[in-house]
Amino acid sequence: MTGDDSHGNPRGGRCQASSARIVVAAAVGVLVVLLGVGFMPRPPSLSTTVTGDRDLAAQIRPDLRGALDVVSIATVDGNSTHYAGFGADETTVYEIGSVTKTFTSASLADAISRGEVTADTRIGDLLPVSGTPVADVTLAELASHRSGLPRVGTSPTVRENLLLLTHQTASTQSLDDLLAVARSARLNNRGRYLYSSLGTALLGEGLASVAHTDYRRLMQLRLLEPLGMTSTTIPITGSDLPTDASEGYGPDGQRHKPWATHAWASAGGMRSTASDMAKYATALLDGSAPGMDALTPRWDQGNGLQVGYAWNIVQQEGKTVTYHGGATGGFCAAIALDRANQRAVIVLSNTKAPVENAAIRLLVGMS
Amino acid sequence: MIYVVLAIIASMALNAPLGMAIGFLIALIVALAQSQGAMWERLRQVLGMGYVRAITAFAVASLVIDELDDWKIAAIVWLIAAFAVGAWRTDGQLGAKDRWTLLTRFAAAVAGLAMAWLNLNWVTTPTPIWFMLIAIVSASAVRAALRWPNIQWIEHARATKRRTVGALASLLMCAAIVSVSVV
Repeated sequence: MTGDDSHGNPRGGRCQASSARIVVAAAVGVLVVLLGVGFMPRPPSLSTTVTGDRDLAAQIRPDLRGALDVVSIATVDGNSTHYAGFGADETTVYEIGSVTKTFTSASLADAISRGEVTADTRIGDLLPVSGTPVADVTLAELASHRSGLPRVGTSPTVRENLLLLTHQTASTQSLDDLLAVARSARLNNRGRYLYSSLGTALLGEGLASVAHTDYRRLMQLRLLEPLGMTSTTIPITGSDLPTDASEGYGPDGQRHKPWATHAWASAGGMRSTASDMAKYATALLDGSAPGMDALTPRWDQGNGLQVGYAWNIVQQEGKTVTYHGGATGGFCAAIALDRANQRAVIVLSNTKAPVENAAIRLLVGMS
Repeated sequence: MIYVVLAIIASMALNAPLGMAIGFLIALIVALAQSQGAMWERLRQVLGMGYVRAITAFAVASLVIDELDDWKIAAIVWLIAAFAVGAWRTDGQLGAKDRWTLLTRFAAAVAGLAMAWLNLNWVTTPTPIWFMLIAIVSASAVRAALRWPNIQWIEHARATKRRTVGALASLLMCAAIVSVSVV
């Protein structure tokens, strides 16, 4: 049937038009289905490729229920270090989130031993926050989450909401922005334990200020280089991230872009490996790490827990476990120490699903 | 649909209660501006306007679901259901009676799919749910394409400019939701 035919034959024209309409409609439907197939959600699952110590991997596997992609594990037992991995090994780089706080608090203990500050030095003496409630807070209070400062300080801005929505870090504040948050912060229940990343961020910047450097350089000079942690980095801005920086996963399987935490780096900005963290744990167990006094339990935080400078201390099956966990948008990490028995466990995962319990259970089960 | 999409965009930027309130208030202001007569008469007219009822129902449903889980689930269901119902119904307030309505609701359904792709927990949500949503949108798109030649761009000749501007604004906002989700 030609176009001329349709003009001469109204029924034929309607038939042709109807056929064309059906073809177009079917094409639209197929296009939607093809897009649906192309964008089909593909949630990851924990890798079945086991590396390193297979017994260690089998032992911890039941406690890694939330892990969706890759996990690295390290155990330290006296002079012996073992590694295991699921789709990863001891050189795989992870964001360690708030485990960074243990380095910041070690830096505090180290600065106290150097005579640069005291536990009672006020943050207002180190950072330009005078005339505000936070100025009176001591470094010990900041390190032990007893400052009364809120967790992060402000409600997310429009930009931060959109960053969170697209699975990027919302912690893009400069030091000036951080100080503005601190100046406007109120202290609630000062002296009682209230976990505050804002407090640790201020502590890190304050200690860097005393040492006349920046936080990253302070960590490199006083902790990372002395401990030989050559694979551990602190990206401050996105340009500090390696081009192949791996993404992590949220607990819902959504991919999360790597974090560069700007002025919040001292609260959760480190990237490290199981190998480097094992060096850290070994130095903490043998007492050779700078700022060892940070691990000393000093205050009760309720529920049978004690807190040192950042470190949590709990009694578990007759053992004193000193530990800290961390999380970013797409990663979780934990380090747990049994100082009396010279043992440690490190668990690093590229899923935001807590691994603290897995680390502690593995630690107390070590014999 | 424009006020629902507006409320979704505002909620993405400012979180749910505030975003929903903004969408609702803007719809209310426009409705009051369009109404005529004494205060009570205006109020009666506003309460009878379809888009005021729609944004009210959507905001309430979203806030209730946000208490239980996440308001975005309500948004996903609403955006996809609005297109499906509009494509298949040819009469009544819920039916899409002109091309602009079909087009904006299709764009909103695509935005709903993008939100589902980004926000639903696909570790715990069975993948067939995704294909069910795709099947609904696909079948509704087929139905809309079949109806297309038989309907006008705008149902009523009056308020043509306002309808066109509103539809274009809806399309832009849907494109913004899709780009935030996919990029």
